[in-house]
Amino acid sequence: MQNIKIYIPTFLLFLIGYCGLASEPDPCNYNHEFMLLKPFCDLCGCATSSGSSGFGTLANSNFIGLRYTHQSFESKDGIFANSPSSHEYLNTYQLWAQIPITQKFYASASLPYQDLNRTFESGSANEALNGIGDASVVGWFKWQFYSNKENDSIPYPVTRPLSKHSIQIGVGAKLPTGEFEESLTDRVNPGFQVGTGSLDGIFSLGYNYGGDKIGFSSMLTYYLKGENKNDYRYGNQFNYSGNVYYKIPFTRSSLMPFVGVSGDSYQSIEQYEEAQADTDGRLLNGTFGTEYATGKFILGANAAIPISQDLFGGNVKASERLTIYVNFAL
Amino acid sequence: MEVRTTSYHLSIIFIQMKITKIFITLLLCATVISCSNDDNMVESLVGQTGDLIVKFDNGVGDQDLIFDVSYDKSSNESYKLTSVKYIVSNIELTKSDGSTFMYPEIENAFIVDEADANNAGEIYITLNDVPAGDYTKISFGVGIDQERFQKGADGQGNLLAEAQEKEMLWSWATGFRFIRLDGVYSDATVTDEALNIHMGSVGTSLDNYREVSLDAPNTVIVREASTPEVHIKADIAKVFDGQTSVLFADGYNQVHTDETTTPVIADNLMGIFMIHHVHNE
Repeated sequence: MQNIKIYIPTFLLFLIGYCGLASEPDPCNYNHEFMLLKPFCDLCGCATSSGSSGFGTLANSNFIGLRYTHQSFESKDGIFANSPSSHEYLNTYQLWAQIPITQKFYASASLPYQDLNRTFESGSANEALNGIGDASVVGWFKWQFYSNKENDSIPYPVTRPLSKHSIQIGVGAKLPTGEFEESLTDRVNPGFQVGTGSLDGIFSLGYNYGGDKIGFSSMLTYYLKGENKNDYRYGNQFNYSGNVYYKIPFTRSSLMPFVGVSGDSYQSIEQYEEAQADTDGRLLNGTFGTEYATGKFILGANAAIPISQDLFGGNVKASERLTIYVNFAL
Repeated sequence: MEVRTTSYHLSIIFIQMKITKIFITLLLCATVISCSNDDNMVESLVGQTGDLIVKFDNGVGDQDLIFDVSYDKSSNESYKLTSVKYIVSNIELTKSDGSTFMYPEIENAFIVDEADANNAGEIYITLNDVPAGDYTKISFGVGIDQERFQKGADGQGNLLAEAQEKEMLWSWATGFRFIRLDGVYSDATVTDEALNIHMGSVGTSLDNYREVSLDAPNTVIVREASTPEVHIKADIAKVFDGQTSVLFADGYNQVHTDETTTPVIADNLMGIFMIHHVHNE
């Protein structure tokens, strides 16, 4: 643990470097990550990039970590074309982990703390909302394909060599651990909530290819939303993502930049089993980022930039999303 | 020794698999439970009352109404407004089964004044003690009907004082102004000429009271513990360009008690309202 003295400055340097790069007009040099966990939030575009199992090892990388995500939205605060805007700023601090159960099964879990702010162009008083968000737990089955040919280069082959392809299937739930405030639903952006108050089902299918230098990771996830105590039900959500990453090994560490796309589509929100007008939508993001692994620590940063979107009848506009995290490999 | 170790490992794996199965099963159960829709208990609504909020939101076409902003109308005329007020009365709610509830008469008249709007430009009317129920329609009158007017000053409740304060009353003999738009207009020949639409019934000789019935896009659910908000959009542009398009240059820049122009404005006024959405709590 005394190494932490080295890790902290490294992390800070990394952050500074990241911010520096982020301000450059040419974003080629970027990074992303491939964690199976998502924020599982019901805000448009909040579902972060997904991806392959953990970092570096390309085997199950199990970890516990902290993640910070910042996302902002601009919403129309009224029913007219020239209605003033409100700005929603969503900060999520998340404790997340991926824990092995058996060789083929593992579980992932996350517990967010939400810190939300909203400002109004009209001059209405700012709103702030914070508290524990909705926890989620997903059980995963990983199907690792085996290579066809025997690998003679391994001196002590214990099992058949693994191929570079794998599939993951996940089933889980998002729990209503965050508080849902009904009065907030009258706003144009109903995502301004610490929690949805509902128990939701999560179904995921992932595919990964991990080559020596280049890898690919993709994930499809369906969120089956439940109804909460207020007879309010967020629309079911479909999320997809695909990323290509590149491994740059150093002597005692490695860097893994990535680039890809992710998107969400949302069905209409229902209340008292009646669909609410202008509450469906879709969002396509371009994503890029990097992971940096050194020792037991994995540092990551990524950004998602909207390419096209149509949220809540065009009344809500998602801005860039930034995520940074630090994980400790278990 | 080796055999024992192996069997130990196997049993560990076996236990782990069992845990996994239990874990997955639990997750599936949780998911299935979350998907099953518990039917709401049939609650008794008899004797239960709640509040209902009607929000009026004035606009011009798809634009929010802002004072002193110039809006184009037909025939190359434009206008700017400095006051927008109108009276709604006889609010009646219709349930999905067709039964109706008329708000108590003495309190059932309101002045919607843009100057009273909140930051979002909405004017709230709160109806108290509305019988709990699922409503699908709201009707109201624009202005004051003859029956109420003929009840005299005592039959007006708080409306009389409020109308005087908001300058929505001529002399008692002439009666209430149903709508009051003040501002200026411009066209090809004049700039910022006075614009005053003060339309009402004229005593008992000219009845410009009109009724409006609006269907709700969602059920309006009134309960003791849940106050729905009916968000009504009022398109002020339709006062001039509604059933009939009128020209300021033709005398519609000053509409007061004239028996020709006031009914045209009254008919146009009837068509300015729509329910934009309903927010249930």
